[in-house]
Amino acid sequence: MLGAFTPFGADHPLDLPVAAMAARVRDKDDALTAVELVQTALLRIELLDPGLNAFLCVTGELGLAQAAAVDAKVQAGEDPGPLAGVPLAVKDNLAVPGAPMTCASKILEGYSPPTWATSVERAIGAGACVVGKTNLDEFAMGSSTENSAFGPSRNPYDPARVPGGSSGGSAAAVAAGMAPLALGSDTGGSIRQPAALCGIVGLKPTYGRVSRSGLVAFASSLDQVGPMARSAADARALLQAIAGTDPLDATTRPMPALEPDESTRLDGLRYGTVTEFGLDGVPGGEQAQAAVNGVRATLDAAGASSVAISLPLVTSSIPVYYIVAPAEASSNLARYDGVRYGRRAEDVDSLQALYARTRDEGFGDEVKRRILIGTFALSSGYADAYYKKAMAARTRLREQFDAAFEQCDVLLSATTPTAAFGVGEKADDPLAMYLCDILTVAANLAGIPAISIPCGMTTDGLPLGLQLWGRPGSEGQLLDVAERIAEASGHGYVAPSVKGAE
Amino acid sequence: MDIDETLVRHVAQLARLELTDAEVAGIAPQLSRIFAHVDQVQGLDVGDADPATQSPIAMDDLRRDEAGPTLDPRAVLRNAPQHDGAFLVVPRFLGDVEDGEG
Amino acid sequence: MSDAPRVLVGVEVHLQLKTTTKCFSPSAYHYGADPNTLIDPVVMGLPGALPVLNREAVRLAIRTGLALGCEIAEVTKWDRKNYFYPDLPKGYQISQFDQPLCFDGGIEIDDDEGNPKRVRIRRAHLEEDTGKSTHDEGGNKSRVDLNRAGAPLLEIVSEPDMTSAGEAERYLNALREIVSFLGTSDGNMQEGNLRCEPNVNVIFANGDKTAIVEVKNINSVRNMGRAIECEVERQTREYHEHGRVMGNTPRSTRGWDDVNGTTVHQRFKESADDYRYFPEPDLPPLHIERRYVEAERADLPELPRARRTRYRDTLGLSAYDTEILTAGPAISAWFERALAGPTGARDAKLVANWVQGELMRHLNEQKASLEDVALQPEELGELVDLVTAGTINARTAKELFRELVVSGGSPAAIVEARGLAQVSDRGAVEAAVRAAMERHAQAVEDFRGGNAKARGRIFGEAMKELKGQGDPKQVNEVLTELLG
Repeated sequence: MLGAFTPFGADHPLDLPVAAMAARVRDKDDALTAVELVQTALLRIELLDPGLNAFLCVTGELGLAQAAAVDAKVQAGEDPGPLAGVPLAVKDNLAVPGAPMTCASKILEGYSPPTWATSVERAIGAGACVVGKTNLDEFAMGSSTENSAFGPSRNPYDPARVPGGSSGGSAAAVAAGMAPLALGSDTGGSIRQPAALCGIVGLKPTYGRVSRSGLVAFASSLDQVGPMARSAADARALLQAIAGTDPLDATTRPMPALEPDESTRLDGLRYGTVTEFGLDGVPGGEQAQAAVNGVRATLDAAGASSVAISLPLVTSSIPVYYIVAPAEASSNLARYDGVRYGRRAEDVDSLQALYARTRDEGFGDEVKRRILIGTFALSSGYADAYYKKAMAARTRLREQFDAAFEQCDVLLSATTPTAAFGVGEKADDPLAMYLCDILTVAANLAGIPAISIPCGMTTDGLPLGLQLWGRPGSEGQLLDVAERIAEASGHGYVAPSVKGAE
Repeated sequence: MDIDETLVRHVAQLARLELTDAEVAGIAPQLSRIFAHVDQVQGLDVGDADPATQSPIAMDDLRRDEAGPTLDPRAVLRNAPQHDGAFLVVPRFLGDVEDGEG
Repeated sequence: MSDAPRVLVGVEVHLQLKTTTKCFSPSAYHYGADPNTLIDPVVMGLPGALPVLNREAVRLAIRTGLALGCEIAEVTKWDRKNYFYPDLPKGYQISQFDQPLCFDGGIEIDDDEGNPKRVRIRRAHLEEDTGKSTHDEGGNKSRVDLNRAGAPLLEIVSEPDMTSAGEAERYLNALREIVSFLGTSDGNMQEGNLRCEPNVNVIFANGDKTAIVEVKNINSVRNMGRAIECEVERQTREYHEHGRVMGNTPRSTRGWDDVNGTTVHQRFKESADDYRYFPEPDLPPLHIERRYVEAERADLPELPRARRTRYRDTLGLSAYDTEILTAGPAISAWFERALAGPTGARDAKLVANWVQGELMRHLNEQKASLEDVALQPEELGELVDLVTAGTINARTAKELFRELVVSGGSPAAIVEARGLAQVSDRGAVEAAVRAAMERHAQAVEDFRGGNAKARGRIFGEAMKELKGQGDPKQVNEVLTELLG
């Protein structure tokens, strides 16, 4: 840490666990205010973000106004909520009125949403203060945050490397200490993979746990909004704030509560290891596998038992995902046509040209690629062989997960086969990039929750992530287990030594 | 599945993407490579699994027919690339451009 | 088998359902609002906006489907129909592809010989409407109004069971009448809440068939008939002159040209339209409980065709009365209420006479509608009862009607309060006749001298004596007796 700067310090309140931070803000007798926390976060962003490009837009005015409102409530003796004064970074595919929403795409040039994303609104309702909108792969399509029209984000542990994606900006913001909490979205691993690569906690909720209203759709049947934080406890606090059914999203469903269960023990825990997720023979996978094995040893020593699980269809999850997600995306992105909002190509004299040129100029290469893949997979003559087959496979995959959870409480795997790769390393090989999602997409296809937690570092000092998968609605249990593992293994968030504006 | 340039152009037209010849030439082999991988789904024995990803809801779960907030028309038009104060404006079109294949 | 070519017509109807809000979002919809004022984030297709299905739209669709004799799906779902069009904000329409809400129905119409005939309905599905575009004449701009976008539509697809323009017109009229009796849609073609697209082809005696043509832009029932006639003639001519048949000619869409009274080619459907349908992931499938369907079915009103049959065959009303009393849901419901007495149905012909006679005359004279009439149907029923029971005479009844139609009120109570009841006491009538004869001794003399006219004067005087409440028949009898 850069102890020399005022916004940093060994016991800086912004680095406290969220519950403790909010407790101090809520304590009328404590001098710490929400405004002070937000000011600190803004100062850290100012100092650190030029090197990381985690933020597309800093919403200082908005965040300070929210903080002032929190402080006013404290003074008035009202309850400002469990996230009182906690700075929150929001992925720029979630609607925040008053701020532009770009989805890291040129096609949304000049667009500002009129209504709040439900998840953001709920976090604010719990006292969080929005400090900025974070960078992402365009329309959340990518695994490195390199596919941003506004430049790649950087990994706080090594700025020559990617932070992962697509919620790379949110992950980098949390890892670098610019915000204790961030919202991300996960369609195929977009919360968990960058969380792993940035050494933080990221949770993809059960499909239907968190409202998607105000989340710009990538693949509607896979997308979920979720928390990114420095610890499972912090992630739980944010998830509790944003979860719940929403009349604006018909796919939300009532789910079991998220309260911590102190009685959860590693002793007696049955964890499954999925044969198909083994990394033996995967190039560069040794270190991730070793880290997972280390956690397994801890679990076994604590009295947990392992069950070998086979999920044969998991080996097809990348092909299935790369049909279903682009198919839905090709439809979801049809609305960006230059008619009602956003960018429109200039000097077009026909409707056909308006559509085709606007979309050609407005979308980046990866988005175009996925639109083409998805359009093809749904097109006449091919839909049965691709889309319908993939959807049927998805149902069977879910059945295989259901069967697995008959035999164990949670599944355990690495989050990614390797640690963060270099910026530009996979930029020219879309398929190699797609394969980054190999350990994450199955949770989205099955609609089940999964969490990535830190599980050590590579020999190069790059973070690695462990992933826990649970049955639908079991986020509370996943978070309990994640907390116990962190306690038992000693693994957790380790602040990077990021260099600020020097 | 080999995705040749003709197919890329056909799909790009369906998706209303104007690709340059260079883009088409670049994307065709990329898509072919991706589909070489994706094609393995065709060999999966998944039977006639129900493709529904969600369980059904009931009539009582549906929205009540009560009017909610509408958007301020001025705000709607402010976001629009071209308008005349009342209508959204586009280049003149007639007929069924939805079937722009022909 | 006749040698005459056979005409096959199917009709696709888009019916706007009468909800307060749109199909998938809570912004209101009504015809004629200022452009782009009935808009919310879902209607605009804003990023992040999600559709939420309107329960009332489903209910009205089920109700209509039941009235059209359809099965109602146990589980139904919505699909995205993908195509680009400026009045389609999301780049896809939320529609139903392979699991329509209603299917396998049919309604009865009269064929060209006046015999009953069933037209099968293949399916009726619930989808969202599009916005509307207008095009500069000679200019280079088109303008888009999204008010209509998202309004709930029931698309009703018939089998090609109609064999003439007349049948198709009767089918469409029957459909309009049904939905207006159900109250599920205004069914107004001028305001576009009912739109129809007939598809037409001809089969010749040798088995040759012309290619199916779908006609769009039709704004009235009559014009649909004209368009069909025009197509039959054109396709027959094309067949004879150029040998155009299905197989060498693709299916096509033509537009109705109202000015020239003809159809104009729009486009060929050479390859199947590639709409890339897939299940709408933003909407879970809908399970429709059977008891819900049965409750809706039990709540259906009697439909116009069945009601007509009953009026004619069971109530014995004339064809003329039947037509008038089933001309619309309001008049028909009014008549039904007037008919229903406290102890069983009243005499239908009597009630029908009042409704189609006095009531209609009043409405026509005053250019009023039923809602403006203060008289309640039950009150008319009471009036009829008073006449039937002989409590009041016809003249009193008509006077009372003219008063009640503007002020309303209970006829029995008024008769009671004002003592309007008919005088039927023999003694009172005799006294009145004698008094009249005394006062008009000259008239009595004249009558007895052979002047028949003089009798009327005495009768009138006797009625006056009875304050108009005498039973004319009885007064006549007594007069005849006393005059000798």
